[in-house]
Amino acid sequence: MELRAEGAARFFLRKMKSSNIIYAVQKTDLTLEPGQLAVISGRSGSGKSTLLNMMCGLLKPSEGTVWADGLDLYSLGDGALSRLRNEKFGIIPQGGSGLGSLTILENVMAPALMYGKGKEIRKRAGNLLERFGIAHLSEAFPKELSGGELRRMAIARALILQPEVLFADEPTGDLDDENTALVLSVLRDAADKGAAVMLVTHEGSAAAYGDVLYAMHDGVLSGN
Amino acid sequence: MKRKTQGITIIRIITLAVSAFFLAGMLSFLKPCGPKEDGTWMHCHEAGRGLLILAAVLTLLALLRFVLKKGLPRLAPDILSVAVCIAAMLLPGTFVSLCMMPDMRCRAVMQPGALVFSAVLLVLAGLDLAFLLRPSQRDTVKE
Amino acid sequence: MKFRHFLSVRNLLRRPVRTAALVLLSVFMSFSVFAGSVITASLRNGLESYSARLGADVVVVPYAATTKGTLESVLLQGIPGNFYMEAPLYEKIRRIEGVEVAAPQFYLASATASCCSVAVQLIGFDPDLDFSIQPWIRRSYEKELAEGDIIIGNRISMPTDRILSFYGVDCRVVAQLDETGTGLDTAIYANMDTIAAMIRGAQERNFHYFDDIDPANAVSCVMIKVKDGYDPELVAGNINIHVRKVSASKAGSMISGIAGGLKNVSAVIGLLTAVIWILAVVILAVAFAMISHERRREFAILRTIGATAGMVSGVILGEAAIQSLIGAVCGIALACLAIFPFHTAISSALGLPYLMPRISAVLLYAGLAILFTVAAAAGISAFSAHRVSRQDAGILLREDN
Repeated sequence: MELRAEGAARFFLRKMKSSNIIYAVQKTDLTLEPGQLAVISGRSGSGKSTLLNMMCGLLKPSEGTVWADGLDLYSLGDGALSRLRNEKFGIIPQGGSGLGSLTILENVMAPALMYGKGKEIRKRAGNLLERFGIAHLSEAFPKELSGGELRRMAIARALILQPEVLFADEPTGDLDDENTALVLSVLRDAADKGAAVMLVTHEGSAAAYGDVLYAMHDGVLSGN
Repeated sequence: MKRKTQGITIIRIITLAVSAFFLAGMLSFLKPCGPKEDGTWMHCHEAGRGLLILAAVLTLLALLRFVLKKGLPRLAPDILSVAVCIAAMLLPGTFVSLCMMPDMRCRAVMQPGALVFSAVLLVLAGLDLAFLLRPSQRDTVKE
Repeated sequence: MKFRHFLSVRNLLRRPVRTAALVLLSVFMSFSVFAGSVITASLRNGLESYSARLGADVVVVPYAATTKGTLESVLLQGIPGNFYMEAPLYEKIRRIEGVEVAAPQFYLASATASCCSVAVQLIGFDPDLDFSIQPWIRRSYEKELAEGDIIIGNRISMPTDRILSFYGVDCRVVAQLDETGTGLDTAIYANMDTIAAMIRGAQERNFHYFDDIDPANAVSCVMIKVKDGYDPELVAGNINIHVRKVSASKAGSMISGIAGGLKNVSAVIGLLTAVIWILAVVILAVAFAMISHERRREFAILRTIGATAGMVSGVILGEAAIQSLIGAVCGIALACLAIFPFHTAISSALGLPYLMPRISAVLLYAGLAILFTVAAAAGISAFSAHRVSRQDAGILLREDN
C-alpha cells in the first residue's frame, strides 16, 4: 500500500498574542512507498508525531489530504477507517501502550481478537514474544513490565497481523543499545518484506536503517 | 492461583463476620421474649437457646476454616456448616415450636433472622466449597 | 465471548476495588427503589383491605372507647380490648333515621392466664344482622357457625379441628380467614351464643371487664349501613345528637386517618429513595467522568489497533451495564432478605395495615428496579463514552507525551 500526504497540515487553536492559530505541521507532501523505510527525525515538539498520526488515520488534517492507494483516508467512515487501521496498519505509539487489564500475550493478540480472526494467532503471538525476548512474561500484566519490555510488546502487537504499513513513533525511546538494534532491524526487515515503514525518532543510529531520511523543524518537513 | 486464594480469603472473612453477627444477634436483637409474669418460659425460649448454640458452632466453624488448610479435613468446616445452617433454618417452628401469635418476637424477629443468617451462611459455605474443589482456570476470549 | 465484552469483564475483574465501589452504588439504588416500592404497595394494599373489611358506612362505639382509640387499636394492631355499651342504646341507634342495617359486635379479650389457650381478641357477631364479617368468612367457610365453632384470623398458627379453650369454653377451629394485613388477622370470630358462654366463664373466673354493665345485655360496637340517598356523615351526626354515651363516626374518617399515615410513610420512603438516587447518580457521574479521563490513553490505544468509536463506547457501556446489573440483582436480593422474612416486624413498627403484594407484582417491581438502575448507570456512562469516543485518538496520544 502506498500512502501519500498532499498539502496535509494540522493547526490547533490557542490563545496567543500574535495569532490564535498554531501550526503543529505546515503544509506537507510525503509519500510512503511499499518496501521503503522512511526515517523522520527532529527535536521534541517539532510536529513529527502529529504528522505520523495524520498519516495513520488517527488525526484528521486541518488542511490537505492523505491518500491510501488513491483513496482519501479521511473520506472513509469511522468503521472502514478503523478496519483499515486494524488490517493494513501497524502502529507503535509513543510511550507505554499496554492495555492494563490484558496479559502481555493477550495484548499482542488484541488486534486479531478485535475482529475475531486468525486461529493460528496464539502461535504467531508466541513467536513474536520469543523474538523480542519477552516470552517468559506472556502471562504477566503491563504494570509488571519495565518501559523497555512494554515497548517490545507494542512492537510485537503492531506486527501481529503483518501490516502493509508500519508506523513507529519513537520505538526505541526506552531501550538499551542491544534492543534498539533489534527493533531497528525488525523495522528494516518489515520494509524488506514489502511493508511501507514510517519511523519517527531522534535516535541517531536509525538513519543507517532508513531508505529515505527526513528532518522536521517547527512543523516543516524537509529532507532526502 | 493468587486470585483463587484472594477469593477464598474474602469469602472466609465475610463468613466469619456474618457468623459473629448472627451470634451477637442471638444474644441481643434476635433474642426471644423473656420469662412470663409467673416466671415460666415460653416454647420460644428453648428455640432461642438452640439457635444461640448453633450460631456459636457456626462462628467456631468459620474460625476453623482459617486453621484447616490441607487435605480432606479442610472440607469439614464447610460440610458441617451446611448441616448446621439447615438445622438453624428448621429449628424454630419445625423442630421446636414457637409462640402462636405472629407478632411475638420469636416469630416476627428471631425466626426470620435465623432464616436470613442461615441462608446467607449456607450460600457462603457453598461458595467456599466450590472454590476449594474448583481447579484454577482463566477466562478466555474467542479467537 | 466477543472481544469488547471480554475486555469489559477483564477491566472489571482487574480493578476489584473500583468495581466493588460502583457495584455498591447500584446495590443502594436498586435496594431503595425496590424496598420502597414493596413497602408502599404493602401499605396501599393494607389500606384497601382495611376499608374492605370495615365494610360499614358508620361505626358506633361507646364514648369511652373513642378517647382511647380502642377500636382502632383492635382493628389496626390487633391489641385486644374490652369496651361495652348497654343493649338499649343499640335499639335507639337502630331506630335513627337513615339506618338501614345496624349490626352489633361484641369484643372480648381472652386472657393470658391458664383459662385461655392464647391471648387474642374474640369477636362475636349476630349472623342474622352482620354484613361486614360474614362475606369475608364465606370465602373460607360456607356453613353457618354453630355454637362452639370459631374461625381464626390468618396470622394465628392453628390447624382446623384443633380445640382451643377460652374462659372454660372449648371451641373448635373450623376455618382460617384470608389475610387482611390488619389487626383482624390476629382475632378469633364466633357467633353471639359462643361469646355469651365465654362471658359467663369470664364472670365465673372473676374477670371484671364489664363494670356496671350486664354483659348479657351489652354490645361493643355497632356497624351501620345507611339507606340509599342518606349521607353517612349526617346519620353519624344524628346518632351523636340523639344517643348519649356513644360516639358515631363515618367509616371514611377512620380510613382517612390511616390514609394520612400511609401518605406520610410513602412520602418519607419517596424522599429517602430520591436522596439515595440523587447522591448515587452524582457519585456515578463524577466517578465515570474521572475514570474515563484516567483511561483516555487506554481508549486511544484501542483506536490505534483498530477499534471504532462505537467499540470504545461499547467497552465503557458494557462495564457500566455489567456492574450495575450485578449491583441491582444484589440490591434486590438484600431487599428480599430484609423485607419478606421481617414483614411482621415492619408491619408492627409502622402500626398501619400492611398486606404484601402478590408475587407477580413483586416480580414486576424487581424487574423495574433492575431496569431503572441499569438504565441510570448506562445513561450516565453513555455521556462519558460519547465524550471519549468523540475525541481524536491522535490528540489523546499527544496529550500524554
